[in-house]
Amino acid sequence: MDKKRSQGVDRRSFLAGIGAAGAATVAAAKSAEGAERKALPPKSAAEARRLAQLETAQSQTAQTQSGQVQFQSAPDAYHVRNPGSDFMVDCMRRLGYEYVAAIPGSTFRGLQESVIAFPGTKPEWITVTHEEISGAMAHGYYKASGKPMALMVHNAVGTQHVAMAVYDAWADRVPMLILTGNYADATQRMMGAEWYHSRIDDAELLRGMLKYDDQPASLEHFGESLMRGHGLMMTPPMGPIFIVADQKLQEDGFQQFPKMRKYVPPTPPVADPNAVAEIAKMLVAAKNPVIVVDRSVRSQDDVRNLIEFAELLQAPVVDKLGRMNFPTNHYLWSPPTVVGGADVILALDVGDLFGTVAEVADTPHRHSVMKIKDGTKVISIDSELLVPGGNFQDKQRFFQADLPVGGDAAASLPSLIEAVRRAMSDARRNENPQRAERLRAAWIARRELDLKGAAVGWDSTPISVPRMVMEVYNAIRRYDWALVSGSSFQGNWPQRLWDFTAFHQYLGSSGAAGVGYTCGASIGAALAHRSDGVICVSIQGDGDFLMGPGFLWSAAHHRLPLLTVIHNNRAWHNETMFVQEVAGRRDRHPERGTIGTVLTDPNIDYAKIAQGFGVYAEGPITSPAQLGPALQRAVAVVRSGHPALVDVVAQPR
Amino acid sequence: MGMKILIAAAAIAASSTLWYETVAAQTTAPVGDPKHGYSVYVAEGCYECHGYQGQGNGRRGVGGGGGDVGPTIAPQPVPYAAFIKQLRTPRSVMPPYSTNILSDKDAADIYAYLSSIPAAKDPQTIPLLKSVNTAPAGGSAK
Repeated sequence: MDKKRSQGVDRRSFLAGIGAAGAATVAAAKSAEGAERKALPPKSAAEARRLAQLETAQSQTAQTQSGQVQFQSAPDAYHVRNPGSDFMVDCMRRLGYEYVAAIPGSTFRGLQESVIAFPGTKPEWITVTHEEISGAMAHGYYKASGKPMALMVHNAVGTQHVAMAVYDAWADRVPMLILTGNYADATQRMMGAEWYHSRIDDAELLRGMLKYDDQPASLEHFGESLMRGHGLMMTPPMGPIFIVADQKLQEDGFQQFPKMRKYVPPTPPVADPNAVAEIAKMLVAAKNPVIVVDRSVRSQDDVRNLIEFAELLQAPVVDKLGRMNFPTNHYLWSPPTVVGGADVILALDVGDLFGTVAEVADTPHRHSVMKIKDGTKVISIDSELLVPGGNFQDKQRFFQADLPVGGDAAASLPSLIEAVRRAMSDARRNENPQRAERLRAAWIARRELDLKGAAVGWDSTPISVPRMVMEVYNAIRRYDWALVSGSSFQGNWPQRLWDFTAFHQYLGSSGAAGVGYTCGASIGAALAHRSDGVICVSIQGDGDFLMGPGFLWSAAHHRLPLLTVIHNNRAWHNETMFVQEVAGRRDRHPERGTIGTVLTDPNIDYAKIAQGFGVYAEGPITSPAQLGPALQRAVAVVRSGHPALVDVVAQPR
Repeated sequence: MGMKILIAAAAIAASSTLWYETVAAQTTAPVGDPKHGYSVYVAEGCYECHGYQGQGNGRRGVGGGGGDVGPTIAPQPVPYAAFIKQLRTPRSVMPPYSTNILSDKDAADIYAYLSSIPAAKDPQTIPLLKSVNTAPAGGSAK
């Protein structure tokens, strides 16, 4: 850093650099709060105090924008002015963080106070009941909004609680900012808890699942580290970052704050143009090209690009459902089995390339079986090539592609489209209508097969999964909706029966199959959609629910409009199947596979649990005929801006 | 009974049809007790992968991961001989069920239960299923 930039400046100069977005947010909040103040006189001394604080914040913000804020010295030894955590939170604001979620922890008390001191400003404080919920919440929020969220975790203890959620985010390539606090200078620590809640290397526990971490030793170092980490985590492949806000830096007063440069987001890495031209040639020449997608898009524009690309080639698209990559109602939407007929496969940011073209069956001998023909060419555009290997095995088994290309698939799609256009001859283009006709007929045949499958056991008790899924769809389909939970434990019936047409309508699942993800992720998505009218629905497994039921309290407290449908199969059912499978192979007692894997005796009443958290709830629903009306009532609650839960006793899969 | 039969590719499904047809010619189903068959079907956990009505997961799940469980085995189960062959010497990931676990009588009763399951309604007579889109979207090639 040059000398000029490293010179400290006063708070006025620093805050003058606040971005327009942040200022607009503050202005909007100011306007709303101002209206509130005019309309309703203070009802109490506490209310009067809150409004006075708001006025101070607004005045300061206005002065900030006109460059008039002056730092004040502390009047006496009992007070601290201009605490370092104010600078830290301003850094977050400059980067556009709108929310920070946390269960309180004294190692970040300074930061917390700097966030909550100015009501109506961003970031807004979101209270959760467990660190794993805050991590999963940031995970769901990013996938629903495209924006990163921050969380604060108590050092040493909260860091351990949040670990599972961080691993899910890491494996799902999702960014989030994790902050903690610590007295690096051990002589500053009080006896007892402050020692228990300190570490020499704060990020050590999480480092295998972080894209970046740091323990800054000055405010300027903190500001630079946050900007560096932010740029890294938002560049594909994305991932969580972890920064320690030293407690002394948080709580000491400063005469001046460092001036930081304006943040400029990096551009994503794209595939090499020569490789793109080669890919286009191979795809155009192929008789049966297949496109496989997973975490391949990040926006509706990307979805449109993918549709254009697939239609140009008339290539079926296999969506492994890491995100809503491709519309389920498009005739090119295809099942994974189509790779068996492919002569060229293009995998776009597919997390498990080996699992796309081969499988290891769950049999005693674990044989690998190829699913593709000999001679099938496999091309992979993959930002995973930019991720170093580590202790965690989230990269899945290696498969040697015929043409591996490092780069971000979504960012590379526009150049792929242009390259295919250039490579496409008239003769090849004339083949497209015939290919389209064949693929359209295949889509219709599959949909008819699915409808027949869904009809089996339609009126049965326990309620069949397709019946549950269709009753949910019927309750939400007239609105703008989003399924914010994974669908694999529901047999992917939503994708088989619903029309997913927009990116926001499906977020994929946890990333690392960590139980408990859906609790936090669903309220993160609901937070992202709190004001845009999208009805968020989560089909929540009962076993997953029990890992973090406190998410319902956060949903009620923060008015998060979320419909939670408990898929209550009274088991960690995947494990029931696994244990029973092993017992059968050993020729003993498959009926005992339920021991330790089911949630009965007593049955759990999820509606009562939800009501205890202040959430509208119905259930257990055991009769198919009762389900539709219950869901309609719950959706009405959600549309009024509150969470609701319906407990559905359903078949396991 | 985790009959995770045929979690496999379409090619395997096609070949299994031939396998069933070959075995089908060998044995006819004995008379069984469907009521007792249902209780054994539940007690031994057949429902875990195939559902209480043998509906399974229909065709193979569309995405990756846990969507792939047992296939449909009712109504109209495969011929009895094929059923027994799959039960005792299963293909793919389904675990074996020897006579130590399931007697021939229990197996026959389960088969009787699966055979007693009435044909599913035509989806077009179920309003919610009738409302499902059957006309795909998508433009023509450019």
